[in-house]
Amino acid sequence: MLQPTRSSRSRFVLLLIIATALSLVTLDFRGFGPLGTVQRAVRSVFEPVVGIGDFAVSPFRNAWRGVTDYSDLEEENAALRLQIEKLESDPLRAQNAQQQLDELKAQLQIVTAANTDGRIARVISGPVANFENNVRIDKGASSGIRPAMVVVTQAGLVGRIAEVTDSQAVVELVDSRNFGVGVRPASAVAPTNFVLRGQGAGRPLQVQGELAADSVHVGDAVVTSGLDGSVFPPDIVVGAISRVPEPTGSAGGRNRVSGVEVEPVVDPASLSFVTVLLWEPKG
Amino acid sequence: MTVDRALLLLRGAAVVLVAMIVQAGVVSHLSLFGVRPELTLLLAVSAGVALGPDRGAVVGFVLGVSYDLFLQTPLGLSALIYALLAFAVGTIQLQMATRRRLARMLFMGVGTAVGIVVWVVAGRLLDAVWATPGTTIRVALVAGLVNSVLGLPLIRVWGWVFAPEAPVRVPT
Repeated sequence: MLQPTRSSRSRFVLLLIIATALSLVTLDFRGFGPLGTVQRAVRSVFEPVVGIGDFAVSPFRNAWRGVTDYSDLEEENAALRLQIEKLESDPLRAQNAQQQLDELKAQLQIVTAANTDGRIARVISGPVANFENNVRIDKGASSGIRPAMVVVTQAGLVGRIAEVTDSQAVVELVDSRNFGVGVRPASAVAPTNFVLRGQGAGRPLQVQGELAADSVHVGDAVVTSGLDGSVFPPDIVVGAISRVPEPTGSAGGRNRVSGVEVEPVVDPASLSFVTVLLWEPKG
Repeated sequence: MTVDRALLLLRGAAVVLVAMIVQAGVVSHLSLFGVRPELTLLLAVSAGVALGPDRGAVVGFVLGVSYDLFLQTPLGLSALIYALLAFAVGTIQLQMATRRRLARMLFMGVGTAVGIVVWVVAGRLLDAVWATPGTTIRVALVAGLVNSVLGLPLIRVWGWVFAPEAPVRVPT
């Protein structure tokens, strides 16, 4: 039987451990190269294990979700049926409009997400730990994927590549804290560009700074602005404005609002496949 | 280095390796009320309970560093928290001089919950972790409950790793 006791070296050992841990944190913050190399090497070694684990556990996980999330699934199904009916209501007009838009963009040689090469990847797992906000995909550097590339679905923006190993990549999700993206309201007539920032998993994105109150309305779609130097191609749907607070003041005869919120269009929890855009920003 | 010492290190390394495989490959795919089990944290706390503060802190540090290699948070954050937590749990258990099952379960449950909260606060200070207080409390409660149930067998694991070695140093 074990008989744990305290030795006289307790404090010394603890101080040594604290000093070592703090040194590691400092070196990591300063971007000390060898630490990153070790991290990438370890993750590469464990990649197959994570994949096998997902494969083995998925039947149990799906069964468990079926039991615990049954009411949510019913509501989701009802909402999806309504959405399908709405989408089916006027397909010809939408198709015609899209065709005209594509032709126009092609003539003007505008680069968008729609005419950018991409790699389709399967989402193989969510975050390893609680409080992380990312997903892992089964394509990596060997498929031409690089850090900072943009990840989308048919619905809109998912996030961007945070880390890449040879055969896998980690996608930082759009609602991650500190995730920033330049956007504009899709219906804006006058140029109205602003920056959205993530506020953490499951929370809406928030507009940085103040905006003219009459330039944003609840329900408006928001798309990437794709300004020169942006890491995002233009016109990727990010979400819809979900909250416009009361004006906080006025400038130039127009009311100003701050804290405008945007609900992301993509639900990270339901991701199965994504497309990584092989798009490099200009300049 | 004696043969016993080398075997101890081998067994310890095997436990850490298996823990990482299970955490990254299996446990991370499961969740209860949206909370993933915190196996590595449980191992660190159980090391404090089973081995006392000194060895617990060393084991916690090793587990934390290993886990940090998989996370997006700064390397060393989990190592620091796990080591301190194992040390604290080991110290408190020694002070209370109890080895009852229920008490140990309580140590591991509360230790896990406290560890998660401290980890989030420390991560927040470094601007590396962000979670609402509600989410943090939910994760801490669920993981604490799960770990209080799963923890007892892990004490035996540490017994297997360390038992053949001389177990005590006489306190001075």
